[in-house]
Amino acid sequence: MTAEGNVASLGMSFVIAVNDEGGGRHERVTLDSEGGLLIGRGWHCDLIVQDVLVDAEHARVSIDSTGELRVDDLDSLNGLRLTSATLEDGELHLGTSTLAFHRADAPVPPAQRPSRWNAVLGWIRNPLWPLLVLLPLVCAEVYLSSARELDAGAFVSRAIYTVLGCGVWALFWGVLSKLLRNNMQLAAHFSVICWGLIGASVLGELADYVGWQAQSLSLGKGLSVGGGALWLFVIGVVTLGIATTLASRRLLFVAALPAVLLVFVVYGLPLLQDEELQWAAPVMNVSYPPGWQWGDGDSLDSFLDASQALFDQSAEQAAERLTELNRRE
Amino acid sequence: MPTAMSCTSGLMFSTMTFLARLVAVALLLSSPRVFASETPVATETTPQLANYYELIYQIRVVARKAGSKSSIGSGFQVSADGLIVTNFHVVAGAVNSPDSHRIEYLDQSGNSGELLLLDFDVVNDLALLRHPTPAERHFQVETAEVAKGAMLYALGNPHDLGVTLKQGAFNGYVEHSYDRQILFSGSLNPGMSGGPSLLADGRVVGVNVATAGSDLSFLVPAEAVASLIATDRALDSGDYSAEIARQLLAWQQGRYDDLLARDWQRVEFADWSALGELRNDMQCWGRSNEDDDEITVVSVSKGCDAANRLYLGDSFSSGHIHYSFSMEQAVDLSTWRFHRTRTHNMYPDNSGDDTQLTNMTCHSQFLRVASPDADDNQVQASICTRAYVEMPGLFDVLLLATQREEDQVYSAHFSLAGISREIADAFTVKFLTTLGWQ
Repeated sequence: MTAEGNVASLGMSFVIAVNDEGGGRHERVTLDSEGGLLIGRGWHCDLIVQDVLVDAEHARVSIDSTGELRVDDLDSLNGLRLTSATLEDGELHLGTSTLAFHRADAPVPPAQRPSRWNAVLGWIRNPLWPLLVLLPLVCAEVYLSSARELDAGAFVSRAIYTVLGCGVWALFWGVLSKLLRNNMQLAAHFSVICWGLIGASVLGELADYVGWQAQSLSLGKGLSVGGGALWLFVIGVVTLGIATTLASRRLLFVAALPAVLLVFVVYGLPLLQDEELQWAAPVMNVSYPPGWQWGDGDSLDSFLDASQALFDQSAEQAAERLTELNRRE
Repeated sequence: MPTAMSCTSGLMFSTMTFLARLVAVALLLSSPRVFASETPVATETTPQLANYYELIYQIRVVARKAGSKSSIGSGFQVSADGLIVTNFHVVAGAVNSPDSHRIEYLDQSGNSGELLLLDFDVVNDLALLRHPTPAERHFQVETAEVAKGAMLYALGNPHDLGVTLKQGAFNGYVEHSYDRQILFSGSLNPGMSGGPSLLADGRVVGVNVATAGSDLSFLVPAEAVASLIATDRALDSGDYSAEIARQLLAWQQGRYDDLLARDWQRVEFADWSALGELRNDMQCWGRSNEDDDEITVVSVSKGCDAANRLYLGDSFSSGHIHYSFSMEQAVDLSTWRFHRTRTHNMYPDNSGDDTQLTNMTCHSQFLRVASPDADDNQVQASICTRAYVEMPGLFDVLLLATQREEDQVYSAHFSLAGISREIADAFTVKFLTTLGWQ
């Protein structure tokens, strides 16, 4: 897609009103007939746009041989949109961000606040906030999961381990996004992974509490206690990693698909199939202080009824397996 | 702690208790060096006993396709018409996979041939086979009582080295066993399973079955052999599984009927209560860490096991009765931290693969249990069941029940293998309502 603007003076200065995840700001640039202005997410760009939907090198604004201002789409994933016929009269939309070109000598409207969508994205991508939540959470987990006396080293080493772990994931997705010409900043990847870990911890704890973990582990025979939370972490990281790496709204759904499938296989399928369990520890009762229990206690008869239903299920499974064995023979 | 004495794929199987020591013994027995010292047979009996060596058969289970033996044991002829006695565990491979295995004998003259499996007794670990060309001489089974201290001579072919005679005393019957087994103070080795143990005059009083190591071994009493012979039938190979299930269920019914009819006495256990040795065949062991230094959680536990377990096949066993109790108390540990570090798992005590047992299905809930002390106790209970694939009506059942106080967690658990759902129900109710919940 190419948009042509009015003839621009050689060596003309512009003020560009940028509105991206970082909020509204003004960037002063000078365009001449050489090179032009490289716009994108990459750190090497002349104009860096903080937007997960913008490519590393998204567009180039230049002055062509006829002296006209033009913008070229550098084969970007999500394309460009110009709101009017000329670059100077309207706004250039890339991803969820907008750029408005104003001559340096013309009056420039004040910088805008970021859109709601961009504000949320901007907040999410800043690793400071998730780290402030995650590190106390990790320390609480260290504290609550050990009955031994702990010194500061136990907390510090776990915090370092967590940050390094997130760093490795961030590097992995960062390299991948670089290869896909979508080099979202490492800090943003890092923060996305931190959020995934927070979600996994909270959901894992919740799963423990309602006794869900026993079922969630059913297909991962060898997985131990942390399995449920681990799955959730992997699901979260894979989804968010793919989504942010591909940086496309359309592809977000594609990225979410494997994660949805994973959730279904790990949690949904066992529930549908009356949880087939065969691993070393079929039940793990997590202990909470008295008063923390789900549901009011039912009668012993109801427990016996439930156990009779288990016998029926087991007998049914045995009959199915026998049929299967006979068929194989 | 007997170890069954056939060489079944290198595995020596426990029919009784004390697994850890059993492993040690099994490893010891697999080393040829331990056979260096043999108890010498008394010289005055030697001329007569020498006549019995040639009557011992080696019993082999042969994988048809491989054309090679997959397990070996010993056997002996007990009737003129060619009935051969050996252990069930010696021929279990052929019982479990009759289409792919056959049973063969090898006599002392080097002749071999196929044996027909007529009948078996999984509870007493016996099998009855038919020899196509019976020998003229055979053993006599003696069912009369033998005096304690009488000298017995065990014959068999240990490790395929050749027929060997081991001398030892008859010491009556094993205590803490639901079924009768002769306690023989002689050393049996793998491969001797199914061989006879004789009096000096040649009458068979028992069948070699297992060892506890250190010159302590176990024999199946001759009356079990006599009653198997008296059954006088020839099972069809298609009925083997059903017959094992029938025998197992009948054995369990009697065993549990008796157990459930008893008055289960609660015994004190930390600040809670537990069950002790409910019957003579149960043995309990307990431990506590109170004397350890720098503990943050006091842990008291107790576990009880029934002595008798049944060998059903390679890595396939049943008949286990296990129940255990644990109490943990926080010492200088916050309530949340204490409870968050307490998790309770339960494991089945018996084993089997997915062609023998289904997966576990489990259910967890909070329930109110009436105990002798109070009507309404909140207990978190989980129950898991799995079924025997080829034995309808048989299940393994696990139960875990926990109760919590601010600074204490108490849990009670049982694991029962190879029982009917009726037994499971009755045991669950009696177990949960006998304990002193708080």
